[in-house]
Amino acid sequence: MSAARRLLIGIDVGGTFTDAVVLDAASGELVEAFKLPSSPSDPAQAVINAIDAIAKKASVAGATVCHGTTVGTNTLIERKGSRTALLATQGFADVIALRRQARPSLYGFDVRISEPLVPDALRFGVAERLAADGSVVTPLSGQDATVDALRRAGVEAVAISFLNSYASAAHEEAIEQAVREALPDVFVTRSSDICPEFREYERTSTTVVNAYIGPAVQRYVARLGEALGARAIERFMVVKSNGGLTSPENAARYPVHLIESGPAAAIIATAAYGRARGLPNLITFDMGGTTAKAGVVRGGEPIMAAEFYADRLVEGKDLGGYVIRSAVLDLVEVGAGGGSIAWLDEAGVLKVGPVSAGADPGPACYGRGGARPTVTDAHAVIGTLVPSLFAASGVRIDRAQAVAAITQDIAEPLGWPVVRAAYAIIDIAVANMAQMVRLATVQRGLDPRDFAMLASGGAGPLHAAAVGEEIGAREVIVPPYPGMFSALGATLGAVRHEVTATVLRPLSGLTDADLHESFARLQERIDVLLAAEPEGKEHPAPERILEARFVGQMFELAVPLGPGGTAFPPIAEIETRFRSLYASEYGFDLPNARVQAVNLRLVARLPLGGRSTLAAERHDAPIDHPATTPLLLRDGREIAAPLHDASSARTEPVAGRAIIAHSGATVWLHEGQRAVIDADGSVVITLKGAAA
Amino acid sequence: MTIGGDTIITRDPVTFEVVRSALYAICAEMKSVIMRTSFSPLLSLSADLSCAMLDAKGAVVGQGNDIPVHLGAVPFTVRAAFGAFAPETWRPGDGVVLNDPYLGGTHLPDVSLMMPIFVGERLLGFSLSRVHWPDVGGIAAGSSSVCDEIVKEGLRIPPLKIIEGGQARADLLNFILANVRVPEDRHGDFRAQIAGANRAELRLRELATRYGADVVADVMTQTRAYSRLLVERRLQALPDAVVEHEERLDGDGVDADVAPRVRVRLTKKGATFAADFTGSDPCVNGPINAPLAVTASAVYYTLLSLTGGDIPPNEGVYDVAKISAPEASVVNAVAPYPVVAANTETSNRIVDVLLAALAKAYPEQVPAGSYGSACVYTLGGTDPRSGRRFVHYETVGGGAGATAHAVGASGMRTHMGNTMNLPVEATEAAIPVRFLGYEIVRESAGVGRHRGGAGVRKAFEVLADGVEASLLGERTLSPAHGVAGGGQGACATFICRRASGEVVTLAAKSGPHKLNRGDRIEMVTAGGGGWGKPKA
Repeated sequence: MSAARRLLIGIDVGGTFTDAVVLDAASGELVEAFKLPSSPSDPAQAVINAIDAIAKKASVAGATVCHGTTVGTNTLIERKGSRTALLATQGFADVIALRRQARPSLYGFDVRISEPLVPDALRFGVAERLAADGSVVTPLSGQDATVDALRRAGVEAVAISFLNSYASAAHEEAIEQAVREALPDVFVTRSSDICPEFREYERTSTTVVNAYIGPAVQRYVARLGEALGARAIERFMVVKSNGGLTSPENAARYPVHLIESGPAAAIIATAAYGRARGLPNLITFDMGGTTAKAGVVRGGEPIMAAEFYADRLVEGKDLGGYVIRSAVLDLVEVGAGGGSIAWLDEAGVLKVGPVSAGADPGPACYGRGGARPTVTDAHAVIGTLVPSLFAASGVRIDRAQAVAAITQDIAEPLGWPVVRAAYAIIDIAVANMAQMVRLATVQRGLDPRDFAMLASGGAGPLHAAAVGEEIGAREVIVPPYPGMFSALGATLGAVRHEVTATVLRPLSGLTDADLHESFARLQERIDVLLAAEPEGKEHPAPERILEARFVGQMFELAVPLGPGGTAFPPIAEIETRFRSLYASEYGFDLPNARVQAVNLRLVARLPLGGRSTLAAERHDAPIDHPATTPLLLRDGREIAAPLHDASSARTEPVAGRAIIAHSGATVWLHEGQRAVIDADGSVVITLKGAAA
Repeated sequence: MTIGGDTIITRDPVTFEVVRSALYAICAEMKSVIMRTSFSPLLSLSADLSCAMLDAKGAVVGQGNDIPVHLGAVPFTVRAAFGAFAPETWRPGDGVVLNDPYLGGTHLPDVSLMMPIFVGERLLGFSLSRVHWPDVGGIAAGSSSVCDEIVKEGLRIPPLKIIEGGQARADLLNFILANVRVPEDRHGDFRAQIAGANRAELRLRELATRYGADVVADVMTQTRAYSRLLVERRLQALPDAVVEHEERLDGDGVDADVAPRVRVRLTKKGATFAADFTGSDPCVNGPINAPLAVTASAVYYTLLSLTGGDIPPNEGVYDVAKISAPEASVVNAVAPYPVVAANTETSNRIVDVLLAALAKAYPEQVPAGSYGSACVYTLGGTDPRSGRRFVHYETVGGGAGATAHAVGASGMRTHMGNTMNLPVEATEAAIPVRFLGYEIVRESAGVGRHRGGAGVRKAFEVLADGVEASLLGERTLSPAHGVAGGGQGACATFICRRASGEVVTLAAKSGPHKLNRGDRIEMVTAGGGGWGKPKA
């Protein structure tokens, strides 16, 4: 390994393991990929340990480290955020408790709703009021008293969100300045900076979450930045929920934009992988221990959503969560993972999840005290969880425990053989996940048959062929290092920023000059963000988007207006584009309805480095394994299923039924399916339903 | 599959679970399409609509996580539609609309559209959406005001075959639109309902293609049996009881000192559950009379919640509840008595009466009284900024009752409704009002080992002359009850402060009021009751 080589390092911190992927920055070639234990009490330590482990073999001087982090999410979920105050317009400070006034579940007397992150005593009404057009109704007053109250309350973070501040930031800016001057150590977020869009609950909630997790993320980023700097790492970038990368400075200012950092990185890897293989349309299927997630890549780009509810599901129950307005990769999630528990309801109907055995005690077959049957136990019973393949990870698979748990909870009450119960558990889990993939595709008018499905996560490869078959995907691909996709994805992103302004005007009343002026202001805002990025000096023209709807409607569609610097399309052409988008989404146009411009959005992307392909070199040592492994069929017969490993390419297809060991994960190939192992280490599965 | 001697699921249980959950998912998708294409903030932002999937005989086999008062009334809607158009006469692309509260509707603004779904020649089921139109005519903008007979409440639509072979009948549609305010927006809302039905049809056909129409039809039957069995199991686990309770409603807004009594006798024996409303007062002249469909919805809601709240709701559950209510009473309205406030107000009070009765037998299982209301206010007029006519309809949350396990939620919608508020910023951008406050009134919560939820104060000023305002609230006179020694919640208050300085206390149901620039309305909803004796 040459000492001059500069490295590109991707690191993803999970609950149990921290994954590291090391690439050659110039060629994009894989240098190494490894896992080490996470350090939950101090997550930065595992990242530093990973860097030190890399540094033992190669120089990390001048390297770039890209990092997907769950620090923000965990701070929120574990309620370990800062003592946060809310400054709101007088008379409206309960906005975060009143929410949208709807309860998350309909029937039942036990109504539980996510507790506001700012308690009663720390919600302060401020004398001020703006009208919907931004004009002043009541001037801002009492700043000194407000600051005194904050000081007395001993807060660590302050969220500022005034009514109608999307139309004018003047009052928020004035109070922000007063707070910053008086309390320089307090973390301050104002809504007109982080989310200048109308709808006060959504905007305030976003602002509050940012303030609440802000200091923790700031400390984490600062600590890592220091440690990495001491190791002569040149650049340190963080993955945002929109899949883009950002500098530590921007990450610390807008931590709420990092809340889906880890899953976003996996989708970015999927998109990059798809582009490299010439597969622009992909369904991403990521299954871990407690949940499975699906997303969609179209035309090489992941589908995005404008908002997200964090910490919504607690033990499988919807508590409403915390809404965050922020561009986020649009993922559908279900409580179906390897650790999901199988159970019978009172009518004797088999259910799987959403309760999970988690990492502790884990599935019964792990022998750590888990007594309830899980999806993983079903695999242990059937034989698709091959004990010898797990030896390296230190986990010992005890099939007898799995048999006992499934027998007691499922097979015996139903009067079934244990193998039938095991298959039923997997069938239900697969059905739940197929439903999730349908939510991610057909509900957006997409046909899964036009897509290849790409599986990642620890449990993804085991179920991918079955889920793919169920939804009718064209083919299923299990890429190299499926369990480390988030770490890989972290290295493949681009810097991405978005800024938005609400206009709320009839489209026909907008002029070319209005568009020029509004986008010029957005450009100023995005320039500030880009200036904090290492590559922010020269960048490609940002994309301009107008979000529009019919007057009277409340949901918008995004109309692209071309890159910055080009002429705007004529207003009439923008309207035509909107109408054709609407017709393709909902099946009809409304010729008599007028079109309203709602938001203008500017999106800037800076590719990081020069990699466009994923040329993962193969570094797996061949696995020492028997040629076959016992596999129970649905009818209870035992066969000796061929056991292959994917450490070397194989153009001659493997026919199902078969098990393929694949860089730490297991691929289950069913009867009638065929798979080849590509030169880049991907397992490519042709499904039964697919045309030959 | 056989459990405890009951054969419920004859086919593969995995297929059962998959198809069953798909029926519910279709309802959710249908709702999302309607919200996205509708023209009313009440739909797109407040989600005041519900969707259901019916089998070929019209029984509910799936429903959305929507509005309990809409959903429980669906069996009545189906009976009315079939009464007018026999099941065998429906053809692909037909659609029946109705809103008649005495004949399958709930109140006039809730407009239902039922469409059949065929797979080839075979009728496999129906989709049904019930959508709250912000206006259906009548004496006041928003069609939710106070008057003394149904014809003044708005346009009453008995079952009409408004869509035939996929074509909406322009004559019928134009007739309806000629009788409502802001007809172009209502036309958009109707288009949204059709878009929702089309999506449901597409999805049910896909399901039939994937699993076979026979399998889907079987699962539809079994899913009712499944839910019924679960409800019966859980009822069986409760001790038997016969309990009674009565309360008086706040006034009806028409006649002074009218406070009709709602009385119930609940009998829980074995796996049966019966609610007998004998002894409830006759219909009154104001709009608080509940159609039987609304009263039944309140009973269904209470039964589903008492049995855990997690049983998939469908007609199998509704079949368990036996309801009797005297004809021409406040819990079984007949023409021409007005009904509009029963949907939002009386229905919630009926739930509280049922809960107070149940608390006598099962205090650990039921919450204390709630704010007993949806607290509806409506505004109508012309926006001087644009010259455009507007109609505004919004509900206001209040205090929920505490339970043996937890405090009550504050400022949330409870029981029979679950519509969202409208963002203050969206409303101020759309119509000439300015809000003065929207906050929790902490002292309104009933005390207790667990305190009740608190009500909220929502106040606004109008910025134009000639704005028409109406209010439908509850519990200005009768506080929410506590359970097991918990205290009552505070009562609601509604006040109009004129720009002239005059202050008028408004009755729970009042309007239409003419408001001019600078006039203010202040609404404070009631608090919920507490549970258990407060600590000394």
